[in-house]
Amino acid sequence: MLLEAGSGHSAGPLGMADVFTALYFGGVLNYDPKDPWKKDRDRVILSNGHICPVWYATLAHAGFFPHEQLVTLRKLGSGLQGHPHYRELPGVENTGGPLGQGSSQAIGHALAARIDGASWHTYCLMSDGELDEGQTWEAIMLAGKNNLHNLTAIVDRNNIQIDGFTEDIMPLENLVDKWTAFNWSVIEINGHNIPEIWILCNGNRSGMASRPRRMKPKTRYISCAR
Amino acid sequence: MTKFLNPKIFDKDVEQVPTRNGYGDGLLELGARVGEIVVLTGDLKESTRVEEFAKRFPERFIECGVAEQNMMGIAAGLASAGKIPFVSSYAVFSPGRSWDQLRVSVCYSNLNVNIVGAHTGVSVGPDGATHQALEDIAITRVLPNMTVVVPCDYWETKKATLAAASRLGPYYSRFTREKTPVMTTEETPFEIGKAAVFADYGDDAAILACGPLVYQSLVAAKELEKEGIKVRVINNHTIKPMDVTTVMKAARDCGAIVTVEEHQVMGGMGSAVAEILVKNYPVPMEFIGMPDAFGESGQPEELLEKYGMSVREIKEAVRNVILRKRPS
Repeated sequence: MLLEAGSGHSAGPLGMADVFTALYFGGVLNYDPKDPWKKDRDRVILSNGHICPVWYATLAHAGFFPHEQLVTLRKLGSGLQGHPHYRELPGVENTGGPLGQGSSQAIGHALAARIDGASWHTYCLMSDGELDEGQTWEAIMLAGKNNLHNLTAIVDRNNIQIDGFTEDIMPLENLVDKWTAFNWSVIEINGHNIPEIWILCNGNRSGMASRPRRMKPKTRYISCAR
Repeated sequence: MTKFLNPKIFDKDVEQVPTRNGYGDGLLELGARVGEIVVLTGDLKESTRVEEFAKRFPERFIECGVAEQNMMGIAAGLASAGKIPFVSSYAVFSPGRSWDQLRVSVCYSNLNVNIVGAHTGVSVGPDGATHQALEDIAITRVLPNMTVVVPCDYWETKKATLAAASRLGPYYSRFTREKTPVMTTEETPFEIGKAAVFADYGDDAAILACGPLVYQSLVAAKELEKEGIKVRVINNHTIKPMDVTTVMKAARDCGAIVTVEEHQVMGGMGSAVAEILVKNYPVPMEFIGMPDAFGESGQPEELLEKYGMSVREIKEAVRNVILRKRPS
């Protein structure tokens, strides 16, 4: 897809392929490609919109639209915009790209579900680089305050951002302590271990977690570092 | 004077109410009637007049704290999930601080998010320039899908709030802080996108005004009539989409236009009028508004006077624009 497009991000999407696989094909998400906007669907909000190639590929594999469309990524007239656009494609739930915005959007979904007493769950996929954004922490604070059990944030802790390693650009550690201090239940997992992702997401759905839960997929980078 | 206006409009004891009160009362009506209405605020419950809504509908009220970017994003999420959010803050903070979220999360997705900016214009007064929003019309009207409305008084604000709830797409409306004259009545017709002729003394020139300065414009027109200058006063409340028909008719009938707003001249309502006229029917124009400057602390009327938005300046602008009219 990226080769055909001639531009776009490759590392981020590849790093999150296992998480997308577990979510869509591991029985985590409730969705129906024939009825993409059905009311009780689980919501996937992609905050780091630049990794959308993996989302688009996953949605095509899941049957939301034909595979042939994948090569139209970033081309004129395509629904596969360079950064995802709300409902431009079946299954694309939000507009994302400028970092930090998805976390707030996801909270809006989770609050709407709570107001309606609906049982669907919201998953917010985020990068670690976007934790530099103030908006992200505004969102983390509000979710913690409101005990949003129906929201899960998954942070791709790959340690890398555009200008270099996250700890050199803007140190984020200790991330677990920071999120925990904001009233989140934090679980670190290996983001490339599908059973781990699966068990944690489903554990959350069954109401085991008492607080918002963030899962932190360790990519090969962090695995090596620790 | 058009018959549907407040008959006491020029009396000394004309009722004065802050426009934002109309927002609070409109929300209460909506809250009882429409289950999807959700109200958000960023630590400004009382001054944006959403306190009563929060009391009556606590499950549909979201206190976001002093975090306007997050608040705007949450509203986008709520609207995606079928809710009708009203985002309430001071305009300098929202859409000022939350403009990126308004652009990307709300407008690009064309979501039904209603944003209201309180405390606009120099008439905010003693708080000074930091809190006097003078750019909000410019930064909202430039965004695709956006509707921008500047109500002139309490009743119009209430009607605009009710109308916003059933309008598709993002909506922005601005309020002022101080009490201002109630020019209209509960019965005065209001429709988003339809400017209203509030006074029609004649066709020497037309004053297109928005917000509470419609009042100063009406006073100016009344006083000018005594000088033998007969003007039309139009309440041009909808900045986007603007009522092209009424604006064009004013230009054709009068051949000279003065715009009046409590906002930077650059990019505001007057600019939007000029965009229409330059393309279709150019006539001489004068612009009353903030002259590319920041405000300062002071009393509202002192500031309006100092920065050229008083009755005297409006009258002067009318005389000037008439001098520039092409011979017919």
